Amino acid sequence: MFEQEIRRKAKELLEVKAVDLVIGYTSGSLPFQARPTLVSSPEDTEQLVWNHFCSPNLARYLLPYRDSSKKIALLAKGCDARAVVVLLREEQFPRERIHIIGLPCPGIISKRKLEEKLGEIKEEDFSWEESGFLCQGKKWEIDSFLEDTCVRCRYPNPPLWDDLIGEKRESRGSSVDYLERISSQSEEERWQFFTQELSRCIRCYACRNACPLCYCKECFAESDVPRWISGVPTLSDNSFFHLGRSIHLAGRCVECGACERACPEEIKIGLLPLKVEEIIKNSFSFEAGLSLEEEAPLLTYKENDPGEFIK
Amino acid sequence: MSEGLIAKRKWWEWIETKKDRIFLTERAKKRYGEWFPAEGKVVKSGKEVLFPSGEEMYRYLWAGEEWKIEEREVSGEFSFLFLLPCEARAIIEVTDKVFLHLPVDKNYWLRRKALSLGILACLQPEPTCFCSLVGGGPFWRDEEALFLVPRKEDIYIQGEGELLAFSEEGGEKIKEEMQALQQEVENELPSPLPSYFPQELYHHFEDEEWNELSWRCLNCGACTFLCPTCYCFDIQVKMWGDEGYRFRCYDSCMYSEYTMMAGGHNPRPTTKEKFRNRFLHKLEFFYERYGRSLCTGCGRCIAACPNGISIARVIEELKEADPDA
Repeated sequence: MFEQEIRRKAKELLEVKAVDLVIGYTSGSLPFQARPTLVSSPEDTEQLVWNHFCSPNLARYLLPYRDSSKKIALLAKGCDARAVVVLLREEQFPRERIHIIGLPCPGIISKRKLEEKLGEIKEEDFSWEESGFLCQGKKWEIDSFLEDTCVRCRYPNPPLWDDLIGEKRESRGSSVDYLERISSQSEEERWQFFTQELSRCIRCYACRNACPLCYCKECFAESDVPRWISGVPTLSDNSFFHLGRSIHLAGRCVECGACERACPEEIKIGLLPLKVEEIIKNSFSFEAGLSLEEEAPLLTYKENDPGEFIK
Repeated sequence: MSEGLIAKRKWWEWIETKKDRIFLTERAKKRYGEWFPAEGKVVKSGKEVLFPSGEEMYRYLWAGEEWKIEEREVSGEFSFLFLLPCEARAIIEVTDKVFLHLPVDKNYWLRRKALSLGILACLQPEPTCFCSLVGGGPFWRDEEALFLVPRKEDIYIQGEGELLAFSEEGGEKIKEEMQALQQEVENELPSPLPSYFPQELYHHFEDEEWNELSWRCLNCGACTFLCPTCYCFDIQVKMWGDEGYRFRCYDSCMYSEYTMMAGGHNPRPTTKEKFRNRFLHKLEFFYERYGRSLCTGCGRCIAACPNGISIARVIEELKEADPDA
């Protein structure tokens, strides 16, 4: 999966001092896991990996360097690069200090789905190929093992890049059916669904902290004076937090699903921002993170702005 | 302690107690769910039963001329809690020490003295487990808690109490069988485990390694909230007009607000300081005060971390940085 090319490119950028740091993935502390890593010397580029488990959105790691002078190369899947575009549009990071190594994304595999279908799994029993893997003497397509957020991915290719490594990929799906399944339920069913999901939330804020676009220095959830939300994870406080977060992401969410994959309780937390993005798309024909030029609809006022979604 | 007693599979039905006062941890449920009735309440970890994620302490009300204060006391109703050795150790060796050390935390004490613990032997360690490294083990038991080993057809029970009156005598053969089983499970513990436990980590307070180790941490509180030994809490207030209530809820050293001072100074301003404090508290500061580490090797934090941070791996990496190790 172009791992060697990525290492070569990262090494080259560090050697010629085109960048000071490379942010990428390395193998995780558990099998079937990759974790973010920071590489600053050419020799260390060997630790970089690129596989079906490179889940975290690396754009999250740019902002700590905002006020430094470091030039950073970032490995970016389609959604990571979209998040970078939003950060650039919001003037959170200067374009000249970031070098995007774009990676057309084959989709992230859910370890849980692997275990559900294949039982107890060991890394050494797997042999990975371009579109699938060999395990237990059989060839498996990856489609049925993809994370839910990747099944509905429309933009596996980075919209912005300085180097692109790998072949461009077809879009995999969309969120239309998923949202329709929820919208078509009765009010009671929907209430029951959200109650069930949100009452499981322990408010660890992994969703917010994994999100590359939740970068407020002080989150409303942690504000002390006034205190908007209590520290007790009640259904009401949890709902307030997640609804508040979704509204704050309106017209900005790039649907990467980092929030959902970070959730230790496996709550379908990506659903709320996804619905908000659908409304934005239908009302303003706008999708976040696709272009550096297009104006963000909720940051610009036009007299003929549609307002049907406000009821 | 009575040794080697076997009860039939339906022993459970003999316990005369309200089912909603029986708790089973999520992990124990996952492993031994079939042994327990569905009416039992499933909790994330044992600490939730004794130290809930939110708890009202007292209410207050302006009664014309003076403030009226109404304390909230827990009932201290008898309850049963079934959990795995790593989770039981967290209560017996950690939260009991913290909350029952002077001054005694009243609500914790009321719940604790009414609680009967059942420790379920861990027959299926997970890849994230490292209990043996921190002094525990899949068959760790405590004198005052029932010790149970669910088997195919029956259950092995060791302990005191009326429960055993319903059991049949087991004998020497069963004792041997249990020892063999323990050996078998211990041999199955995931490998390689960190083979070293760091000592005197305060020498490493200023080490450069913390930058590298903490870099990927998101500062979310998933690890601390799911940890059976993390016991930090915050006290907050809700009020409207002339009345309100004060309550406590979990807090996490991963959050900025945790160390934020009046006036805006934060002594642990960045991820590095927060991360270093979490691990030093687990491996060093708690040890200095209570003579044991603040970790029972359950591995929940490793499984929960969205970015693959592992306390076992942190220990290994500290070892590499330690010339004396």
